[in-house]
Amino acid sequence: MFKSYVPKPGRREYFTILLVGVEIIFFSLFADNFLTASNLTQIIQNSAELAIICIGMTLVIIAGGIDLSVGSILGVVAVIVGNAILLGLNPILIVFIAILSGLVLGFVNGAIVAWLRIPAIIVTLATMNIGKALVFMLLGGAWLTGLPPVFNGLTTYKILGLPVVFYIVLFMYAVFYYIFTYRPFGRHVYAVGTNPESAKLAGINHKMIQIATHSILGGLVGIAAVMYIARMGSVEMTVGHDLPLQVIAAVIIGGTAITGGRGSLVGTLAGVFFITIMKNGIVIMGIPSLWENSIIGTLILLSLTFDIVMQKRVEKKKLMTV
Amino acid sequence: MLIKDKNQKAILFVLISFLFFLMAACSDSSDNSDAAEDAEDIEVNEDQTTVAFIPQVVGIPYFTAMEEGGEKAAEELGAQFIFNGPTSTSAAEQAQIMDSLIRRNVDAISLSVLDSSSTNPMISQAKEAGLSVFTADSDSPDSERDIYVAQALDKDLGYELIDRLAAQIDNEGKIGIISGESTVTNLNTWIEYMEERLEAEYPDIEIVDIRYSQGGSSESALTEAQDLMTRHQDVDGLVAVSSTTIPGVAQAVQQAGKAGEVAVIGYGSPETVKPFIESGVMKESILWDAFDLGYLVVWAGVQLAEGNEFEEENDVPGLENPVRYIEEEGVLLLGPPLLINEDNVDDFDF
Repeated sequence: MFKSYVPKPGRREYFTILLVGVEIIFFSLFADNFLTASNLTQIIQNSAELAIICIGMTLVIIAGGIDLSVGSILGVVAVIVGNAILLGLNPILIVFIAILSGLVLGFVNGAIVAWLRIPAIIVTLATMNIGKALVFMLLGGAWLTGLPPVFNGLTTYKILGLPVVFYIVLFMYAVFYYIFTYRPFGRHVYAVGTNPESAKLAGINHKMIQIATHSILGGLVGIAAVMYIARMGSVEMTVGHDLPLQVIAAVIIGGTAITGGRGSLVGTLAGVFFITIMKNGIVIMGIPSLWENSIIGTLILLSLTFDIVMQKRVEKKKLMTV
Repeated sequence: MLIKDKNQKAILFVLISFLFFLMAACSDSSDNSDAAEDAEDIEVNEDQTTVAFIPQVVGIPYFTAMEEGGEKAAEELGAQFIFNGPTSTSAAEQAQIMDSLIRRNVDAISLSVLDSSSTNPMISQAKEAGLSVFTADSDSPDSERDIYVAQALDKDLGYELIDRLAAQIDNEGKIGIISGESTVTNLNTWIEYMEERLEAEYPDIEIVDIRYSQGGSSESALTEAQDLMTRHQDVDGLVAVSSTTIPGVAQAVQQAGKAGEVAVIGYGSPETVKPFIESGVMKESILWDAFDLGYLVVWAGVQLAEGNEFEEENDVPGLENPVRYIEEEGVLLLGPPLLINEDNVDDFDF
């Protein structure tokens, strides 16, 4: 049950955690009111959606794929959830619908990638645009505003002083960390991402892994869509347009290799906090928000370079031992 | 195209992330050229006067109301009305649509200017082609446009907003401003007039910060407003300049439990602000009747295309108030700003 199949978080993850630590110290010193209970609560609330989606994105990227359509899936599901709220459906049923519709959209991505053998980056670029158009059509020229506050408890309710979404995020990470580290499924995902051909020879159905990872990501985006509605109380036309960049950035900064086969959820969570704390701190310091994008971009490039250098060193070592 | 090599994949990824940055940085999301293609398909009826209007973005209730007003005017005046714009605010796409409209040979083109440096050359090009070109809703005074159909004078809007906000916070305190994109002409002009009014009339009110939401998105406005309130915990009022930022700013105040404590005001359409006026986060919003503005755009377009001169006071059939024409600035003015509060918020459908 608890036999570890994949390596525990290593040096790369600790580096990101260290980075978050440095960031927190920096903003505590230079940004007034950064280190206050209300601000930290806000950071947690605003990072919850990103954190949940990043679990799925980590799986997809480790399996050698990528998904650019997460923002569009979020948009479509948010519109569905918004309309379901207006219809007055049971909240539990709505959450179920949200997860299911996300799952279906993710499955479509995965199925095209696996069965038609088209690179995930191309497939999801296409579905991203289709999703944007779909949101536009579904909203039909008007925003969804004035939604009854069915899910407001998610943002207002607190347990032991921490918002309830914090516990949801923690629970999800615990569940997926377990599945990922201690169940065969996790090992298969790594195997497919490292080398699909040898995974196939080892008897792993790599197509099912691709479909499963994309579907899980979709389902998680469905949960995030409910959180989005709880936080925003409305659905705008451009819902989720910035999301793919942020999600992929968090995962990469968290140490997952874009080439697949390497990464961990611990690193991803650190990456998520790094990005949300950065966004928050920048505003509190009064720096124009435009800088945020360039800082995140620089960090992605640094992470990628770091990974390539590390990989080369590992390969060199291997050669020397042979 | 199967990519097996890992290095190739990494390179592809870097390229694509660059693409994303470019898109995010200029917010000219060029991922949607459908609108421009649509414009190619439009049939221009040779017997009728054709007036086109390019909004900043399609799909928001405000511009939809303008479209409806324009259609009503077109019907009553026997003209054809073309309404076509980008699906996310993009000046580059506006220029594309203008280009195709010029080639379609419509009689009059109007647009709501997003970024004058991108569309001014197109305005000149349309003039060269012999069309009537005018701006509406948002102006570009340094372009070759014939006239500007103004919803209300920018000065009146800026002053009115500050006057109403000052009354709400008893003429003293700290206020924060949350705007849309930092490059949008009309938003910036309003902010300038707000500052001017504050300086002249309300020495005890201080603007502590001006933030811009990315892509004008409501979600970004929410976090900007939250963080602004964290930085300045004693802020008394927030101005949500662009209509798209109002739900985010109002939601931020509501979530912080500061409804009634932090005043929220902005240029929001009645439908946008209705839930917040009902919940007590907002008392008032300032705007104009978008339906009437759309109506006036088509009327003005027909007058220009037919070569009619404007009087100082024009009676426009279908509009209640006479429309003033300010000749030296070339401004056709719809009227004074409209104050939206709990008494009249239900009277509009945009």
